[in-house]
Amino acid sequence: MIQLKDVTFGYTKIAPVFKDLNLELAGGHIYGLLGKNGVGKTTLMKIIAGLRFANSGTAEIFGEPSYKRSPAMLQDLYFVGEEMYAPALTIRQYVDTFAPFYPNFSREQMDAYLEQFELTGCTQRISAMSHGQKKKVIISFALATNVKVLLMDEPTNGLDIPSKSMFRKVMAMAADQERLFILSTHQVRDLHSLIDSIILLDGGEILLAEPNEVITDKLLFKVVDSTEGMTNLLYAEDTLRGIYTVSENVNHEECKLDIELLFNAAISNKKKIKELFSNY
Amino acid sequence: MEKQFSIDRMMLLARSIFVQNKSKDLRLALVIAGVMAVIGLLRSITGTYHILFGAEVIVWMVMAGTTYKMMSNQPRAMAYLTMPASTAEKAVVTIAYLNIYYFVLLAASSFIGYYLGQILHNAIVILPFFRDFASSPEGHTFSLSSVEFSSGNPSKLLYNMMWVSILLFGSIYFKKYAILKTLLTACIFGFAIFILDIIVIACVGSAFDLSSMNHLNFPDIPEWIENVTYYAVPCVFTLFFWFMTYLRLRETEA
Repeated sequence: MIQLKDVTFGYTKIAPVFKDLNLELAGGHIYGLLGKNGVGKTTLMKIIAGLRFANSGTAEIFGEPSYKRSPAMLQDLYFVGEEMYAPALTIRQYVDTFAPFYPNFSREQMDAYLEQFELTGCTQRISAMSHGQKKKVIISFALATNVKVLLMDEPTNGLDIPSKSMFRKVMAMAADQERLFILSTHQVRDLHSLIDSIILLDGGEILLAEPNEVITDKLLFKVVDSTEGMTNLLYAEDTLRGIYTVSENVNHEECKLDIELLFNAAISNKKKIKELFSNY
Repeated sequence: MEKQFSIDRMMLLARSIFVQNKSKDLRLALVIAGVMAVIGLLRSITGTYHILFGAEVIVWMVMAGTTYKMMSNQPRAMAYLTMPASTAEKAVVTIAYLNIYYFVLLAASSFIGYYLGQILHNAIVILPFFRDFASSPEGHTFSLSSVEFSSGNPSKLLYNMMWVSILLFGSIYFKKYAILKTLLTACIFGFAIFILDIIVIACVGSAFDLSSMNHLNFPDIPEWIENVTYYAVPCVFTLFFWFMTYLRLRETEA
C-alpha cells in the first residue's frame, strides 16, 4: 500500500533528515511511528501524504507517486496533523462541506464516533472549541471517511484521560483488514494496546519496522530481580517493581511487548537491533 | 485514465471555499457598500471613476491575499493540499472564484452602496437646508451611466484581470507578507521597464523628454497592431500568471 524506495530528504542540503530510506507498509495494520524529537516522524508522514517531496528516491502510495497528489489517492488518504485546521463552521456544516469529497464517508459512523466522544448535538463552531474537542471532531471525521490510509500525528496530545480511552475504542472500531493506520506518537502508553506494528526512526534511518509478534519473537521483555548472569542483555532499567530488561529471545519465550523498553533498547543498541531484524 | 477535471469536484471545491469565507465576504460586501454609499453621497465633490477604480484595486488585493492566506497557515495549507481534487481543479476554481464570484460581489455591493448613496444624496438635496451646498449637476436623478465601472470597458477589465492574476501568483509564491512583496516586486519590475524605456529612447537618438514617454509614435506600425497589442498584453500576462499559479501550487509543500 505504501512503498518508500531510497528516499532522501533534507530541509537543507547539508543535513539530510533521511538518507536512502526504504519502507514497505501493508494494509490491515496499525503502525506506531516512534522516534526522538526532531528525528523526522512528521516529515516522513508528510512525504507519504505528498505534502513534502523527497530530494531523491520515490514515495508511492497505492502504486503511484505521492507527490502527484492525485484525486484518487487523496480520496483514500487522510492526514490528521498535530495542529489541525478548524474552520469557523459547526460540525454539521463541516461534514456537509467536506464529506462529499470522500466517496466512502459514512454519516452513521461519524455520529457514532461523535457519540463516543460525547460531542453529539454540539452546535458550537469548531474554531471556538477547545484543542481537545477540535481533535475529537477531526479524528471522528477522519475515521468516518473510511479512507484506506490514515496518518495521525500525535493523536492523543491534548486529549484528556477519558478521551484517550475513547480514542482507543473508536480506533478499534474503525480498524479492519483493508485499512492502514500510522500513528506517530511519544505517548506510547496511550496507544500500546492499539499498535500492532512498530516503525522506529533514528538518525535518519529506520532501525526497525516489524509487527509486534516478530519483535517479541526476537526480543525478550522481562522483569527480573537481578541481571547477574543474564546473557544477551540489551537493556535494563531499574524500577521499584524490579529490573525491566530487554534481551535477545534465544529460546523464543512468550512475552509481552513493552514499547517504551523496546525504544530505549533500540536507541542504545542500534547495531545489535539492526543485526537481529536484518533477516526479516 | 483518471480525470484531472471533474465538474462535480470543482463545484464541491467552490462550495467549500464559499462556505468557509461567506461571513468574511458578507462583512467585506457591507464595508464596500458603506464606502460606496459615502462616495455616492459625496459624488458632487469627488471624481467617481478614480475612487471606484481605487476601491476595486484594494478589494482585488484583499481577495488575492485572503484566497491564498491558507498557504501561509500550515494546518490550513495541509488541509487544502490534501483535499481530494487535482491541482488543476484547485487552481481553476480559485481563479474562477476570484474573477467571477468576487467580481460579482464587488460589483453588486459597490452598485448597491453607490445607489443608496445617490438616493441619500437626492433626499438631502431636496431639503432646503442642504440644497445650497449639497447640490450636484445631476443631483435629482440617479443615472446608471454615472456609475463608471470597469465591467463597462473590456480593456479595463482585462488589465484588472492581469493585476488579479499577478496578485494571485504573488500570494501563493510568497509565504509571508505576500501582497506587500508582490507589490514591491511589481514596482521594481515597473521601474526596470521605465529605465529600459529611457535607455531605448536614448539609443534611438531622440532627446529624453518625459512627455514623450506616453506619446511615442512609431509611424511604421499600423494602428490595428497597436490595438491588438493593447488587448493582447493583459491577456498574455494573465494567462502566463494563471499558468504560473498552477505550477507553483503543484510544487507547494506544507
